[in-house]
This record gives sequence, C-alpha cells and structure tokens, in this order.
Amino acid sequence: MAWLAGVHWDLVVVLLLATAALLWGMRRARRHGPAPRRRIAGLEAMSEAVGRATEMGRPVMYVAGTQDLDDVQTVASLGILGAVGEMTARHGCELIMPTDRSLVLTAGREVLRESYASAGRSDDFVPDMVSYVSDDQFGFAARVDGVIARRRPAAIFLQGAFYAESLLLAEAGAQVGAMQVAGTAMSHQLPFLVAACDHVLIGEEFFAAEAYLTGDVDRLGSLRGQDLVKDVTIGVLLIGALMVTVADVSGWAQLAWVRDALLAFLEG
Amino acid sequence: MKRLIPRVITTAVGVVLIVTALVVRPEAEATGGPLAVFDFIDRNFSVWFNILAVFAFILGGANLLRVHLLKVVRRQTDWAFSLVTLVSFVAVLVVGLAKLGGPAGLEGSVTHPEAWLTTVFDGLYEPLMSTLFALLAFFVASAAYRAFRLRSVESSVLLVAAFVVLLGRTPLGTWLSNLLPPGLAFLRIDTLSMWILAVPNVAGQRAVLIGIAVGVIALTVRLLAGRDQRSGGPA
Amino acid sequence: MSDPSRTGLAERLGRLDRRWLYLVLLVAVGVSVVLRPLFPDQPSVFVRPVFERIERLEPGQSVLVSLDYSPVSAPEIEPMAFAITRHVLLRGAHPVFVTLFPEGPAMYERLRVEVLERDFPELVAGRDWTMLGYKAGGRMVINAMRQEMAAMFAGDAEGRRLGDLPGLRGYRRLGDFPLVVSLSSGTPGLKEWILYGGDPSGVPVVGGCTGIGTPEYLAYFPSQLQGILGGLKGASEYEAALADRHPGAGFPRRAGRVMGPQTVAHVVILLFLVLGNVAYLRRPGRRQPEERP
Repeated sequence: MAWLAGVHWDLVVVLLLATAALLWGMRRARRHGPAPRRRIAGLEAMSEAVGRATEMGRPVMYVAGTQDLDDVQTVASLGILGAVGEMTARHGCELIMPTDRSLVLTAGREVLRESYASAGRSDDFVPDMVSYVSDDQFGFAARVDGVIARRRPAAIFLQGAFYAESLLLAEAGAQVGAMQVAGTAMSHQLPFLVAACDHVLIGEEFFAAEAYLTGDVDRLGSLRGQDLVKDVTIGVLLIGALMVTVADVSGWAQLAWVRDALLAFLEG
Repeated sequence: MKRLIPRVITTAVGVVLIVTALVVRPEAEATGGPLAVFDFIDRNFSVWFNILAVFAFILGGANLLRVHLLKVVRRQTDWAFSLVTLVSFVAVLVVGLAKLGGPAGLEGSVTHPEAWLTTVFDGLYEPLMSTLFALLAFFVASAAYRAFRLRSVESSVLLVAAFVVLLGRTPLGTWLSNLLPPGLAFLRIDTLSMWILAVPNVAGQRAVLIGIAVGVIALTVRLLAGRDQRSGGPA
Repeated sequence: MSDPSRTGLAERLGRLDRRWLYLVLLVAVGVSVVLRPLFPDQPSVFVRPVFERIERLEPGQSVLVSLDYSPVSAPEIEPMAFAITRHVLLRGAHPVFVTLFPEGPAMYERLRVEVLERDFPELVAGRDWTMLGYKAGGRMVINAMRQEMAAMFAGDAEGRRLGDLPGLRGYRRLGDFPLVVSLSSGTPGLKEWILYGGDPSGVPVVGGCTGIGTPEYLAYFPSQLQGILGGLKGASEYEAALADRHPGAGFPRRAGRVMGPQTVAHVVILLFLVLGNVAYLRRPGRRQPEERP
C-alpha cells in the first residue's frame, strides 16, 4: 500500500465534501424547488439592454472575455451567452460576437445555434454573427473598438476573463452611449469595469448569472450547495484562526498538538 | 448518440484528470502499483494537449481568412479594412514561415535580429501594441473624471483608498509623508498605502478567490454529472 | 442660496470635453519624460524577499526565469527582467530563461543585447546562461516541466542538446531548481507558476507583474509567492536595492528614471478625481438620477 502515500488526502477530503454539498443542493432544489435568491441588478439590466437595442434598431455586442475555453470564466460566459442569445433571438435583434480564440468561436456558435433553436428562430441564426479576430490582446481590442465605433451597438455585454483591454473596450462602449453590463472574476479589472460600465457582475455573481437567467433547477440548486460550502469555509477559517491564536497565546500543549496536526494535514 | 458520446468523453476525461491530480506527485519518482496508469496520464496528457492546442491556431486563421475574404469579394461595408487585414495576415505568415531575411534561412531562428519578422515585430507590432496600451492612461483619466464619484459611503471609502494608494506608490507620497511630525508617523501615506494593499485588499482578494474556487467546483461537478450541457459542455 | 458663478463652473466642469483631459495628461507626462528626474527608493516588504533570495544564491546554482510578457507590458516588466538578470549573474548564478508567451523570444533578444552581451561581455550563451525558448500550452508546459524538463525541451533555443547544457546538469525537473522567477503580465504567467509549479513541487516562486495585477497576486504572498515586484514601483525599488548592495556595478536605473512621469500621471489623475467630484457635488439637482450620455 506504499502507493497510497502519494495521495493528496487534504484535497480529496475538501473535494468530496464540496461535491457532496453541491449534489445535496441540486437534489434539494429538485425536490423542494429552488431557494429564494437575492436580486442582482446587473442581471435584470440584461433584458432591459437587449430591449433598448431592439427599440433603437442597433445591434447587441457580446464579448466572452479574452481567454480560451480552458478558462472557467469563458465557460461560465458561454452559459450567459446562451441566455442573451435567446433574448436577441426573441426580440429579432442583431447580435455581434467577436472572439479572440478559435475554440471560443466554435463553442460560441454552437451555443447560439441552440439558443436560436430553443427560441424558435433557427432561421435567424447566422454563423458569422460569431467571428474570430486575433489571439493578440490588443489586436483584438483594436478591432472590437473599431466595430463599436462603426456599428454603435446599443448594448454591450463584457462577460468573462479580461486583462488590460477591459477599459479599452468599456470606454469605447461608453463613448457611443451603449448600455454596458460587465461580469468578471478578474478582481484587478473590476475597478475599470465599475467605472466605465452601467452594471457589473462581480466574481460569484458572474458565476451565478447563468443559473439566474435560465432559472434552471440544477444550476440554482448548486448555488445553494455553494453557499453551504462557503458557510463551512467561513466557520473553519474562524475556528482555525481562533485556535491558532489561543494556542500561541495560552501555550496549551494539547491545543498546539491539534493545531500542528491540522497544519501538517493541510500541507499534504 | 451525437450528444451522448461527447458527454461520455467529457465526463471520463474530466474524472480521470481530477483523480490524477489527487493521486500523483510528479516531483516524486514514478508512482507504482495500481496508480501507475494515472502516472502515465500525468506524464503524457500535458504533451498531448500542447499538440492539440497548435491545431486550434489553424481553425482561427481559417475563419479569419474566410470572413474577410467574403467581405472583400462581396464589397460589403468597410471592405477596405478587411483587405488590409488579409494582406497583413498573409504577408506576416509568409515572412515568418519562410524565415525571410535570416542568415541561415529555414535552418535559422525566426527571431534572429536580421530576420524580416524581427523588423515587422520591432517596427510595426511593438509600436502599435504599445500605443494601444498607452491609450489606457488617457482612458483611466477620463473614466476617473466621469465616473469615480462620491455617491455613497462605499464609493467614498473606495475613493479615499484610491487616493492613498495612488499617492503612496510614488516618491511624492514618501516626500509628503516626511513632512509629518514623528507623532503622526502612523499617517504616513506610503505606510498606509502598503497597509491597504497588504490587509484589506488581501482579505478581499482571498474572499473572491475562495468564492471563485467554489464556483469552479460547482461548474465542474455540473459538467461532469451531465447537468450542464450549454456551458461549454457538449451541445 | 447657491452662487450662480459656482454653479456655472460646476456645470462647465461636468460638460468638459474629455479631450481636454487627454491634453493635460499628455503635456504633464511629456514634460516629465523629458526631464526624467531620479528619486531615491528602497525595497518594500514585498520586494525585499525577492532581492534577498537572489542575494543568497550560490555561484553555479541555476535559477529558472520565465519571461512571460510582451512588448505591451515591457515598459513595466522589462526593467525587472534586466535588474534580476544582472543580480543573478552578479551572484555567479546561472539564469535559465524560458517563456510561455509567443512574444517572449523577442523579449529575450532585447535582454540578450542590452544586458547579457553589453553588461557581461565575458559570459557565453549556453555556458553561463541558457535560453530554452517558447512553448505553447501555458499551464500544461509547467505541468510537464514539473515531471521532467526533457518532456518539454529537447534542447535550448539555439539547438544545443539538453544534456550538453551545463546550466541544466542536475536539474532534471522543476523541483530541482532553488528558485523560479516569473516576470508576468497576464495568463499564462505568475499565477500558473504558483498553482502548477510552486505549490505542487515545493519550489519557491517569486515574481514581477504589472502594477494593476499586483493586488491580485498579493493574495498568494508570502507563503505561496515569496516575494513580488509590483509594477514600475517594484522594479524601481529592486534597482535601488541592487545599486545599494552592489554600488560598484553601476547599472542604469531604468525603472527609477520613469517613476517621475508615473508620479506626474498619478497626480494628474488625482486632480481629475477631485475636479470630477467637485462638478458632481456642486451641480444643481444632483439628487436626481444621472442621465445617460
């Protein structure tokens, strides 16, 4: 059994507990319905933005971040794209989606194809509404800014992982008077997006957006599971901090032993 | 069947890779026993992924060519921009692939100082990219002027923090702090700036990180359990 | 009673064309770029561990330096790369360069010409420093290097075989290095080196990043990330520390020279913040919701 020595037991325990909580949340939601959830202004603004674009006869632009499909924020963004695609399909509003990664191009098209089909507007789906620009960060930003200036979209959704290009895109949108809803888990870009956009989904709100927009029971249930994991994490943090402090201050040998054993376990 | 097969592949590969991350320690010698298969996967999946990633470039290039060619051929609005894109794309591709200008030809390095690609890089790419990046300074200034307002208590706290950090990260902050009497040393802007970065900022960053990590686990569980087809899962 | 002249000023400020802001910033920064003042600096608690770790390197030890940046962020990151490379070579250690950015080889070329060949003409590529080159795949490359360097790199960028490189003798995998330095402007970069390199293999990771990225990376400081150079300020602090500890070397303080323009830019932006808020607080009927532009 020597091979078991290499197993990261700390990670195994954390992962199993988190998975169990998430599955519990999903199961509970299926049985008893989703739990009540708080209002997120940014999400409510999304349909308003699409409606505004439709009234003005101007397009909606969607940017799924600037990272590849192996970034979980891009994956989450494609979920939101699905919901936005259904809105534009129902309203008969033009959607433009420039991408900077080939795989996002393909995945984006598939997501929109399905959205337009589920809205009963398969005929309105045009593959070229999703286009590839460049893998280069600023090459992409320059092109998108150009499209914003020429096409003057009335609504812009910047949803995903962004770096320095975030403000270049958001300011270009602000200058043409577009209603902008951003969402990202890149904390260092949040100040820029907050300053330049009308609404911003911050971190977890961004990951929860798809569940809110689709109303899907499994997704809403997993939100409940996530809350449970976070509650437990907060509890563990508080107990751990308290224990370490008391052990250091009081010098209790037993408490110090528990502290050291836990630290050894967590360090794998 | 069209949906089932990709879903099975996603779940199988996902589960195997997660288990691999949990049981293999690459820094140790090859894992023996029943875990040898995971050891093999850990050693080889990274290389396979890299090979696949190279092919994705072709996909993007082909789309770019198709979209812009159609635009030029059909003389759609702004077709001239598409023509510039096409010409630049093909020219740089040829210069790079043929390693033009380099003394050793195809055998030499594409980044050799005499290679044409180096000239393109230094003379066009770099100034263009630097210009775009530099625009950020202007956009930050106008965004700060237009949107960073004392609307609420929270935004006032943010504004004060921004003030302290912006000043504290410059020699001016140190100079102004030196004017303070020793009794008010705790008000030094450079010290306060470091405190904001190291304490409230880190607390917030770690909370966001934990929240994101839980969100990532949730998304992964849904994908692997086949309960999330649209989020990049097999459609 | 509100003073009409004040209200008028606030209104004018509120309607100010953004191009005036651009002009003021351009002139202010332009003047300071020409004057290039040099300010004294000292390493902060984030920079000092990076400096001390490199200062403690023993002659002959190899350090992995990942050049994960492009020309866009070079003004901030390149001074760090220059200063750290000089420091490593001054200690008699052997930098092993690698890059996860496609633009990285071009960044290395500049480092080679401006630092390696100019400041250390007696040193030889392959013998005293190694450039392994660029590999696509980001985190997967780090993962493979953790297993075995040879899985990713058959040789260096100039075609020498891995076994013939003295800097890699005894360095079979990532964990064999005493230190990894990631000079990073985004993804893949410092975060990937921490999560996929340092954490699992135990190799100490230090790094440098753009000013804007610093707050995010501080979440990993000081255990997962042992030290960090944050933006130009971090680079300037490092240069000052190097000049202080090795006064005879006489290297130029490239980041220190641009701290002046950066200071001016910060002050101008602060001024705009104040003016913007004056306009906001003094405008008539400010309690009503703002109109869309």
